[in-house]
Amino acid sequence: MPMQVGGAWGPIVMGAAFAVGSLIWLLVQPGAFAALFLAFSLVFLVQATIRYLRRGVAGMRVAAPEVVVPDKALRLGEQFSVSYRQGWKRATDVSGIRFALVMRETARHTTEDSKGGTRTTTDTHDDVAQEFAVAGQRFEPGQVMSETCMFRIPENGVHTFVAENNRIEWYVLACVEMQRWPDYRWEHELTVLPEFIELTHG
Amino acid sequence: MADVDIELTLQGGEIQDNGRRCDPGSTLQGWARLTPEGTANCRRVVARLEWHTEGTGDRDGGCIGEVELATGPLAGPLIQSFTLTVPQQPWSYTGHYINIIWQVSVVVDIPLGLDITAEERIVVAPAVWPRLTPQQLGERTGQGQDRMDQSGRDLA
Repeated sequence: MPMQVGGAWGPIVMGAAFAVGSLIWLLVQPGAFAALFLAFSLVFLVQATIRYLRRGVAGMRVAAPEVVVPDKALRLGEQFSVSYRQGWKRATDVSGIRFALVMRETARHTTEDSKGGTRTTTDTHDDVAQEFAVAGQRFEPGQVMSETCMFRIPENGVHTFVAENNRIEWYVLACVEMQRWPDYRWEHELTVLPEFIELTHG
Repeated sequence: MADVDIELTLQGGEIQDNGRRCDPGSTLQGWARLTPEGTANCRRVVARLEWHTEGTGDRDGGCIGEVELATGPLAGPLIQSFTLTVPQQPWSYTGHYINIIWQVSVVVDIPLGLDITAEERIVVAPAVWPRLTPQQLGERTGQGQDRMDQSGRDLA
């Protein structure tokens, strides 16, 4: 099942809409509040654009990967393979490529501020269960990198757990580290059942 | 104000260093000895099997099973047994930001007052689960990381 990484226009569209709206507001009814709102909108728009461009920059060097990953739920102790194939659009010096199986904890908490508003913070923590490193090299335009990694969900791991504020999830990740360019990152979520591949006593 | 002394005793599972471990899907027996001081005006008394999270995130949780032990006022000592079924998941867990805690509780429901409770934590996990803490997991996998070169040869 090939998977592709997509972009995210949403924050840019939202920032542009706020900026245009506040500009019209400022023109119709000039005031400090409208000017402040316009300034915030422009800052948000610039930040969203920079974030998008940074992601896009890596995508200028490499094509979207074609990845074959398990499309069924896995059990603890189960072995599986990930086939990752990616072509290069431009000549790029790659310092290394990493593939990893990680267990990720995500915890969300909401706090109230002194003005009665709420602020939601999300913390994540990755535990690397298994990692493969591919040595760096120079890739020429049209060249294709193809890797197959064998992973195994640790027997001493935990199953996927999803609640409203707390989640434990498993991911396979790929990170292409390009010299003088932002890293290209790809990840895919796996579902791990509360079952063992086989019972091993002792 | 009503006062009830609750003695909660569990039976089943396996006693380990970190408490009573119960297999997912197993049943857990217990009994509650309720000793009211005089007559305690309560709506009902229940035994519950519950889980909740502790740690950085806001609390999640749920009541998985409930057995009604008594209804109406408690006029004298009462001993009631109960059986609860442990679900398949979530398993007990201790992690970096998240802990998943299981407990059996006996709750005396007091109208217009604070409930009186007694609880005992249990561990829900399979017997063969060689679960380590994430720190230990990191150490173990960190030392034995698989390494490949460009051709996919194992360098470990």
